[in-house]
Amino acid sequence: MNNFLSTLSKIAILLVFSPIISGLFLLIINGLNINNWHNLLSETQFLQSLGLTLFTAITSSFLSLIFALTFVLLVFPGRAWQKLQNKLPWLISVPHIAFAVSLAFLITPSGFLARCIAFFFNWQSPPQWVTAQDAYGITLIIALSIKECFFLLWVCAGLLSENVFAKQLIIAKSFGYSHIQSVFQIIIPQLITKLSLPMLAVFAYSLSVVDMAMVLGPTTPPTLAVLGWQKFISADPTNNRKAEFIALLLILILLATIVIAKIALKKISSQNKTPSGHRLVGFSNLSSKLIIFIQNLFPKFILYPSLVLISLLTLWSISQSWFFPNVFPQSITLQHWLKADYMPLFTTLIIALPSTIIAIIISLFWLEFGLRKKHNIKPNLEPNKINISTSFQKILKGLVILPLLLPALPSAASQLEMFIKINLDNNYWGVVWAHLAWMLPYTIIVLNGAYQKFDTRYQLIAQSLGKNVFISYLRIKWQILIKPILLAMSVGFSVSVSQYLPTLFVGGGRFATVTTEAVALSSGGNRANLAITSLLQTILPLSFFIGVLIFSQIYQQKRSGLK
Amino acid sequence: MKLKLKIKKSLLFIIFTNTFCALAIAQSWESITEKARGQTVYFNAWGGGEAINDYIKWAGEQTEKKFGIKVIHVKITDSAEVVKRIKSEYSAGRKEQGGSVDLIWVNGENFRTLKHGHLLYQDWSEKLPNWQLVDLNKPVREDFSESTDGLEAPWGTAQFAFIVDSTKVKNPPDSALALLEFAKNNKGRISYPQPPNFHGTTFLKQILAEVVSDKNLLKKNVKTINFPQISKPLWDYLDKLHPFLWRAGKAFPTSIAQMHQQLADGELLMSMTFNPNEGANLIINKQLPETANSFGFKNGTISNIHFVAIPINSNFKEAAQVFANFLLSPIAQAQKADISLWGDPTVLDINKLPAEYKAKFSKTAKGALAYNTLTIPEPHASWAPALEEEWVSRYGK
Repeated sequence: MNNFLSTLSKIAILLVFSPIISGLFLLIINGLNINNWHNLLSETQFLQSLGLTLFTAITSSFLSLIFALTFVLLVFPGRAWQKLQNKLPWLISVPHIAFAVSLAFLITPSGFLARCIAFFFNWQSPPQWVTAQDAYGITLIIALSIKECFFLLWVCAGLLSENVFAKQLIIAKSFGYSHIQSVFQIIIPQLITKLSLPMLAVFAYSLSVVDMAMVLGPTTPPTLAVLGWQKFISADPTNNRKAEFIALLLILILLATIVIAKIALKKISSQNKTPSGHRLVGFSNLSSKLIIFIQNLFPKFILYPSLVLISLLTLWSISQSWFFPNVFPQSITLQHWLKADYMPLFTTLIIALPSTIIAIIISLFWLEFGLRKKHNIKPNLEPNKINISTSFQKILKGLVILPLLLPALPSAASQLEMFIKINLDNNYWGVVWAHLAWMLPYTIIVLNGAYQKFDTRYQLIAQSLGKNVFISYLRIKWQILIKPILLAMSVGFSVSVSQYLPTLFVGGGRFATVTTEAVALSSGGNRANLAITSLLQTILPLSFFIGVLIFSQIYQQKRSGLK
Repeated sequence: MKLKLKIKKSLLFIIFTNTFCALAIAQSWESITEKARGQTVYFNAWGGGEAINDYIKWAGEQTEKKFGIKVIHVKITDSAEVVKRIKSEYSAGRKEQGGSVDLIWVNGENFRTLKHGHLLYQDWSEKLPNWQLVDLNKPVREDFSESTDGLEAPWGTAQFAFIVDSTKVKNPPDSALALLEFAKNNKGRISYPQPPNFHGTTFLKQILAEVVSDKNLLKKNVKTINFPQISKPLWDYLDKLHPFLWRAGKAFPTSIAQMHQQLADGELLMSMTFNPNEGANLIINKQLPETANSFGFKNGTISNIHFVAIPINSNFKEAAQVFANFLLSPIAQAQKADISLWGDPTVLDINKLPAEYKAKFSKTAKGALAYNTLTIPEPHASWAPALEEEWVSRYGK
């Protein structure tokens, strides 16, 4: 029975990820042709674009890590950390494109900030600031590092939820080390090793982001991902070829980064193997009052700007004739909301809800049966055979996180190729299937930690009391794990909502979701409508997160033993 | 039973019309509408304009009411995406059926690609009943110097125009040279959308048409002429212009929608459009101040026709034709020309229309381009990609 379920879960994983793999395979075969590389190198924008891409991706990834660790350093542990943790879902659920749009509303020369200054200095026309689309991608870096910092903080929150860390801190402090030194030398080194995979995902995202870069990034030249996107949608086959190469190049950059990061981590950890244990006096002098002050300030510091962005979106959505230098709209109207098309909201829900349910089922089965190690009672007579099956398992394990690391463009394109062949393009289930490939990595990663920590003896007790295996899952294991399961669902849901390329490609443009609408409107349309779509795009994952939060709190009240 | 009825109907028709030719057309059109009932048309059209989206929604509702055809607007950001999709579906073996696109809004380079790839349904547009009302004095049989050959039906006309706020710009520039002077006097307040954006490329053509030595060369395929030499005056002009542009020509707006916003805020002094009535429309929708106004150059501005075409592998070619025919009907064209709705000028010959419609088309509104602005035909379709490529290699880095 278990064998059957194990095979089933493996087939499910293969089905979800095989379209991407087959496309990737083709990409690599094409990549062996030197002539094609030459074509790309002769592209006028290429070298500068490459430099720009490396600069924005590396800087924004590092900044987001530094921001996140600074937060941990200053706020963990304590009430402020708890508060921050509760607010994180709000912050993560703001989709990238909505975040970019609202940031642009804030900082462009005719944006809200400039208007506020204009009010005091009596400016009549907007300043000639260089903000969004600046040549070095600074605006893009700022936006990416803030947005990814939320994601990293959220990962940290999960990692730090183990009691061990708080206990380690207490021990360190009892030895007379300052708070900052304890966190710096005990918590952060442990965090950094565990953050390597999430960091890789952050880097891959920054490297290949298209929608956000189109709103905030430079255009002369654009980043490689945007350049690839432009070449990809072109009707000219030579351009399409170039797009494939850009995609391949992005993958190569990522591989190189993995190698460099691994070496660097090894070097650093070998150097810090035997810390001296000196108490750093400078740090302990830092008054605890200041730390408490900072701790109270920080959650607000991170929350209020986000609230400002959301309020700005709301204000734009009800504004009429809101021209520079007016700080507030001349008139306010609900007309835009009344006229708005709510169909995309439903389309999004109709795609995201089933995908979330399927994703969570596959994730649970995969973690439960697919990843399970075989307990061999019989002596191992055929060692080779076992090796094959475990290495297959390893390949599948790698497969699962692949979409996080691959640039979205070639993955979505190869899905489309495959779906055209089996007549599943322009099809609802095709879109759901396509979404799964991006949702599963997140749902599986979110679940994995909690799943590995689960004490299987609970289940054994249930079974020894006469309950069958399935009851022991349904009533014991999955109920104890309900919080991570719900969390995984809400993350999966928001990933599905924010999918742009797979929805557009596989859906043949026929499935207008809030995200495809937002991107379409950002190429035209007025600010009010763009604001409405961005808000709708934010509301969906946010309500899911809140729903999950409320549900799990009610659930916990009834089961006080669950943490 | 149904068949018998049909035969009866057509017999009656013979008696009334008495000419075989008319019968053939009428009968086949009748059978087309008959077949189209219950079909769904996936209309792939640019979805970045609110007024246009609303109009397509209205046209779809009308078609559903009148002909039982459902129209779904697939909102796209660039027609090239759709061309690519049609291509890849076709090469995946969907030669005559099974395509995801039933009707596409298209012209210029994308039409040329589709035509030469033999990806379009043939010989239909001039058989539409409403083709009889089309103004044949307009270049409706030519799309950027490429003959349409009955592969696409005209939908509307476009004319390039600039928009300014008349309180800030009293004497708008009326030529390319005047524009250069104007930019020098208003440093950082002029720009154009970044090519290959459609409107940005049109701006390049507009300047080119004025600075090129011989206008007739623009009608030729760029591959047959000395492109670097002939286009040189344009690049010389841009080299002079760019230092005075917004962000010193190091960055460009991504779309005209962005430029309209920047014009309304005063960040730019000038925006542009390919719809002579868009300025008026934006005033009515409160996206531009009341004092906005459109103008053209004294030697005229680029003008073209935009079309709809049916991909060869569309599932519902009949419904697509009926919808295209409806888009050409006087009522649909009048609605489209209404400045408070879209303001896209008609392709119909107003003299062929009943009196009740004539008045609707001759309306003009505050902020629109003057009716008598001269027109300049589009260069050959091959110019757009050549200009875009050259522009990117010069200014795109």
